[in-house]
Amino acid sequence: MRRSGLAVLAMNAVLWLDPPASGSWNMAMDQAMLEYAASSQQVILRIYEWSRPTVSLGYFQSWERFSEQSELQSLDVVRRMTGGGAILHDREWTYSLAIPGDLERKGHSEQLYRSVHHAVVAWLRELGYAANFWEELNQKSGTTYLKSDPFFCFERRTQVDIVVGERKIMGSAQRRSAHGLLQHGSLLIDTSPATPHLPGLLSVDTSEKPNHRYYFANPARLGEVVKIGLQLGLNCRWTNGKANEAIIERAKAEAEARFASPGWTRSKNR
Amino acid sequence: MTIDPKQLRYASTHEWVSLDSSGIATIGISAFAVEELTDLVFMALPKLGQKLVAQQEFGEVESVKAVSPLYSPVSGEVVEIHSELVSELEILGEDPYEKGWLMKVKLSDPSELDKLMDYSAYQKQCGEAA
Repeated sequence: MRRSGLAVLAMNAVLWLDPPASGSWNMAMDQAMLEYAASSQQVILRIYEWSRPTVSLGYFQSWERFSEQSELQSLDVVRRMTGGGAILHDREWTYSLAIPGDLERKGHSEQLYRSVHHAVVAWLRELGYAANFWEELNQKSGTTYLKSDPFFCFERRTQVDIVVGERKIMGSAQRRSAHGLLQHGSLLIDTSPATPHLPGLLSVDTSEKPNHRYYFANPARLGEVVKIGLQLGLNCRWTNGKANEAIIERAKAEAEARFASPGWTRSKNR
Repeated sequence: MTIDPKQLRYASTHEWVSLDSSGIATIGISAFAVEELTDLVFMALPKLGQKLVAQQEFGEVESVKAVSPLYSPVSGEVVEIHSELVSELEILGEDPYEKGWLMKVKLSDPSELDKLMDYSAYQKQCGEAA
């Protein structure tokens, strides 16, 4: 475990809105982004899409568990650096967030979850959805807390996951490293044909909400909401940007050496 | 073997070291670290015979959502692994010092212990982080 420093001064922060890409490229870019965030001492928030429906496995999830999911076998699969359960990236929005190592401190990871998710809950409520932290529902209903056994992220529950009704529609997962903290998050917009048991936001609440399918066609909206959430926990000065050539070259190397490699994807046998 | 947290040496990354009379170091993670990590679900430890380098990663631990690296406080060869711990991580929460040790290491450079913090200095670090 490595911890150090405090966030006192305003941090430079950059939002990257990236085009759809393969799973291995997205994971490699997140790793390159984290390293760049550390070397440049800035926060980077990345919003991206997936060029094909892709399953991302949590860092420690076993390959055998994935192999048992017959409905997923025709899809692309990649392994994340972050923990948690598997996500089918189809009809969902993904963000990744890189926090330099010097900003890591006690309670910071919990604070990041809460700050980002708090902003998403507020936004969804404004749009008319009955969004809550799972812990709020859990306290009210006395529902048993689910430990992390289910295969899919959206079947699991942690206290700060976001639910609409009793359905989880957003979760985040983290990885700490010498470079800093990487946080992934996923907002399930609609139900994928491959996972009909995991209804997305638009399926969970079918009450009349004009133009919401159009509204939820633009994942850049998630970036604006996450930025608001981060302002609650970090003092950021935001600009828009994109990966430079050096970062892209680093991502290429990471994709080739690790994330596009079957050896990496199938490596864990927990 | 009785382990007194006040007699241990600590790395800034929250691993502790206890040296026995035969020159074998027992290594674990502190109660502060265990509390910080919360709800541990998986731990990956090194293999028997693996060579460790001080301040380099030797394993990883996953809490409910976060994966965190574990850093070796000393250099040396792994001579024993607490393999039962991996399937009973709740032991770490109950007793991170005696029952919750992670591994034993034959030191290659005992002088590295002098670079680690004593209990008092480590408590100060934890207090500043709190």
